[in-house]
Amino acid sequence: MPVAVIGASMTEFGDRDAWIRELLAEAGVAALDDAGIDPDDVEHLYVSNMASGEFQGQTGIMNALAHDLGVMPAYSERVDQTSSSGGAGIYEAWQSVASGASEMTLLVGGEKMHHKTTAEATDIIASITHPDEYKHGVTLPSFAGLTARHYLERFDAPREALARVAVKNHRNGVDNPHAQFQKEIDVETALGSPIVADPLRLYDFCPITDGSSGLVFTTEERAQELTDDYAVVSGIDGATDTHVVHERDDPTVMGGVVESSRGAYEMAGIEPEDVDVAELHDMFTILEFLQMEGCGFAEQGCAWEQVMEGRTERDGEFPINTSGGLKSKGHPLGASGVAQGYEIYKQLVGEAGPRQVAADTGLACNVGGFGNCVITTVMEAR
Amino acid sequence: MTFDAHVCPNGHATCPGHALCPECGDPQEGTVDLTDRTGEVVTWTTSTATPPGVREPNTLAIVEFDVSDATEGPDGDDTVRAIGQATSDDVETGDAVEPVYVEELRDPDIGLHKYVNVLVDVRGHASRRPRNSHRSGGITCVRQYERPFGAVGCPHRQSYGRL
Repeated sequence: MPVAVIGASMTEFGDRDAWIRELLAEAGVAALDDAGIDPDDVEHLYVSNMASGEFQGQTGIMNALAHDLGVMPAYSERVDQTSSSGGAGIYEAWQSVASGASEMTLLVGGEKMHHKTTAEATDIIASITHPDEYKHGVTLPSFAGLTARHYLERFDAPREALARVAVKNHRNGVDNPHAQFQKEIDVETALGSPIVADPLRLYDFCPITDGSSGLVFTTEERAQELTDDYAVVSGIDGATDTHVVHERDDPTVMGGVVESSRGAYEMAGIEPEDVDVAELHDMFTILEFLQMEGCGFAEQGCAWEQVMEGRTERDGEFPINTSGGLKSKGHPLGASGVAQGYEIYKQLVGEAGPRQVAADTGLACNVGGFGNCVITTVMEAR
Repeated sequence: MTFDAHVCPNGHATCPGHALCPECGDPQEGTVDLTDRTGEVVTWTTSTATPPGVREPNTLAIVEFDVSDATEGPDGDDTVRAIGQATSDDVETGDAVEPVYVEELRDPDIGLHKYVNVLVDVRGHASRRPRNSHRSGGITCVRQYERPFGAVGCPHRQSYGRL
């Protein structure tokens, strides 16, 4: 059964006073409003979140949100797949409608992180690693440093190319009123910022962010009754790679990206070149290269050339991260995959405002851990 | 006092080990001791944003060990990779390094995973070879172990894990 997206929402991302319950409710109310449906219409509710217990001591947030939105007795479930919880939520929501189990599904992703220090937040995120990695003080940024060095040395790519990813995504974020940073940076600023995980510097990393985002899914039949503008989930797949990152045969290949994108293309019956706009999980600048290559938008070791040529700019041939990406929009873990879906949906229904590009087919690639779990979603305009 | 790669009957090796071989699904019944072997740095980073209880800066390296003499079968792995902390920030890709025993890698009382004293790990940094020298070229290990392996008992190897 074809599954449609009929509404989307996104709260302001950044340093928020609101706590997790309030953030989720804010996005939930806005998503229902955008879709033009009532709480009573919701049959399944999914809440994407990585670590509300660890960050805030609040568990059971699917139940909390169901109550706060008044969607009882809808089935509710929390979806945790670390940084790809949002994408996993899209997969769950799609399954709920495609299977016939639910005719109207609300997905809300959110995370409250900013009240923790950077070191505390880094440690909560690093707790996903294998004990043999964790005991060495390995963090997700350090995986990025290890991988970026290997990529630059092996493919003879210029360090500047990574900075250009940050510059591009910051520029796109200027036009996103929900983004944590709405400020342009230049290459010199990025290359002169403090080292975080050599060779990567501060501007190669996304910030720590509070925020929430929502999507409403229903059958295409019901969507046609409710609205003229909707998108369909034409392809979706998820895949898992090794838990221990250094055990991967090739440090520059994210197997979960390759497998999930191939699955999504196959289901949608399209090729990579059919995609008009993409949201990639640029938690670190190097990840934009690895996903461009894993999703088949570039040959291995060549993605940096497209970035240097400006092909992935908003006015380029193939815009990537028109939202500003995680880099400037921010990365509230459980919200990020849903917010990628928000951007693609808004692009496809022509509601992306100053960020609007010409697009009939969009792709979102949501990466958990360091490529440990990946969901790729293809949406098409109707 | 061990620092082992784990090997299945088909010669697939991983470090750390797993319940079943990720390559073929057979149990990993064998081990290869890496403590006396010299490895080569595949890539490295110096992390300056480290979690509570971890040294700052923290130089980490992915190191590849030749285990071809200890893996059987036509499909056996020639090498196995491990991650470790470097004893020096002066490290380059292609460097030859050797494992060094360290009593404690991070403060066991801080952090989300809890450990009792941690074990042997790759913290050696040996003489540098030219970046593009052939892997099988001569490796000169100049650094002496800070302590001989086994000099400090660690009876708690099995007791660390997640809270």
